[in-house]
Amino acid sequence: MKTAKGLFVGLVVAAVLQTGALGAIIYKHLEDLRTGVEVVLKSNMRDPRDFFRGHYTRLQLDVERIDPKTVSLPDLPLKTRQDVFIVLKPGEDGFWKASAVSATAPSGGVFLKGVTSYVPPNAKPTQPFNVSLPFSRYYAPKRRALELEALNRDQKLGIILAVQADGTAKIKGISVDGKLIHDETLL
Amino acid sequence: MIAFNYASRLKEDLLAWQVDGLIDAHTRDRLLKRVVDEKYSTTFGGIVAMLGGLLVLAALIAFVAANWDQMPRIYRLGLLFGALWLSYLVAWFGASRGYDALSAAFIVIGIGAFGAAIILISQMFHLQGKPENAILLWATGGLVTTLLSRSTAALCTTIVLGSIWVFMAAPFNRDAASIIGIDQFYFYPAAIILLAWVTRYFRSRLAAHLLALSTLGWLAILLAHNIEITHPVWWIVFALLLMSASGVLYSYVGRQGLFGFERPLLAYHAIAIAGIAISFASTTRQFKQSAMSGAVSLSVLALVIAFCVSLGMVLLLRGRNSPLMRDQIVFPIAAALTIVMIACVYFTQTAAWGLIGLIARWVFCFFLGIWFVRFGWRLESRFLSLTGYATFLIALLVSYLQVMGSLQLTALIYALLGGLLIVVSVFILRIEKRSEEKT
Repeated sequence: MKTAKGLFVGLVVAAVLQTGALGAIIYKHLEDLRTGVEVVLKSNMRDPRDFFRGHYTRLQLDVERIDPKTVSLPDLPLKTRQDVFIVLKPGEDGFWKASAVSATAPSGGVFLKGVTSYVPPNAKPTQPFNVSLPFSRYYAPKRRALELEALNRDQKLGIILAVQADGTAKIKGISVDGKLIHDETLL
Repeated sequence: MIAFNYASRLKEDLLAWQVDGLIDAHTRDRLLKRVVDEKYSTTFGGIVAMLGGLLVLAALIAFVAANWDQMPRIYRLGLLFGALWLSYLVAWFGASRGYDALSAAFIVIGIGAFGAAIILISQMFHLQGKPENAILLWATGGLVTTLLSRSTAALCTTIVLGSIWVFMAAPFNRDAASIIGIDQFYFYPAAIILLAWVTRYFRSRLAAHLLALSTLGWLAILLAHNIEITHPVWWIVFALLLMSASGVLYSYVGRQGLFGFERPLLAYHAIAIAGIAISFASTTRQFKQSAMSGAVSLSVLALVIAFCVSLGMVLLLRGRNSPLMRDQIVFPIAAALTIVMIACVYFTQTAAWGLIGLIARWVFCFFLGIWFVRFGWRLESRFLSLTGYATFLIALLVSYLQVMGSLQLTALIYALLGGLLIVVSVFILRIEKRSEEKT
């Protein structure tokens, strides 16, 4: 262990660096929420529990299920665990839908970056497949998580995202029967 | 625990020495007071403070996991930032008043508050990143605190966090995080080298044990993931282990560059070497596949280097007339035998030769175990001897489950080996008796 003065300086520097690192994460997140395009995706919700972060509802987004009958696929055949981009367009019911899935990033529009789940090697072009998006959890206290799971049975639930130009996105809140509940501030 | 064992053993020895007339009762009491009582009280106080610190750390994480929404986010965050700053402040205050154990406990709480804040932020904002990245950030924060405070407790906490990180980033996690396309798991050796350097600088025995265990865990996961052993990495790891174990033994005889941690480190080496050797021996088909593939040149090259380096160490010890020179010979012999076994599998195609190769590999494992027992006896390390016994027993169990050819042949091999060992033991006992009579 250092001398008392050396230890004081060392620990203050450690605290400043650690506080700074955490502050930078919060600042970047709030900036992304502020600048991203807001979209609402339809989702189912179920309630498991994380060891460190407690209860959350597991999101099952409709846009993750790709049906070639309704979605354009210019880059077939796709492989298992391949990076893809889901192009989104606003739907009539208030939820955004997948309009195309491509292997390269589109030059414009709103799109999300994901990874294909298992695609059989000899899959027919009309065969539906899944794309995994990096949004699977919405954290909430146990009571709220269970409420959301119950609401899921008879109401339309969705998730609000702030989508960046590179296809990454952050969760801004949830939508219950068309009502947007934003969940993004520090206060 | 080490202190308790040492104290009780010393107590017995002191009583025996007093009975033999080597020391008087006054000297015995003084030695006991100095070594037993003081050691016990210091260690116990430190343990209580550290356990208290761990409980507070668990409380912080449980507080975050509860996702208590009665308090605004900014207050929750402020609470953890406050805990972080306050812990470090109390740690400094404790150290300046001479309460080193208390100071260490609060440094651990401070690192815990940093981790809890990371978890809270990812929970509050529904951050979807990979959990192993969060743990990596936590461990990095722990390392920063370790280096700036030079605290052994912080170092131990960082090593534990590093171990959690590498376990979460293990290849059996299909979505494990990667860096430049390579799984984070494979970068752990770099972290081990960095942490080993810090551990040596701090001269912390506890940290050294934790790091050795963590390294063994990493090796075990690597082994489990690549159990088919079709990759040359296993032979290179084996060669590196032989070389480094040889270097550790050389350090033991020489200037003790690891400040007395040589004996436990040799035992950890023995565990790793035995684990890999038993895995090699038990994977007949894969062994052949790997030897027939391009892996053979890389693995033989690594083993030839290991052979040359460890032989060099033998010659250096011979120059010093060290009694441990003969123990050092085990490393070049192990490297040479492994090369011969690879060559046998590579050049032989028939099933009969394949069986001989399999038997040879198991015999190699049995003798490796016996040699480790001898090492333990020579260096007076119970840990190392136990590793040898365990190696022998595990090799016996796995070879029995695998069956060498047929059960009759397996029984015959055991009987021959057993008979051979009994004959050898008679010779050893006679030599020991003669040397005893001389003295």
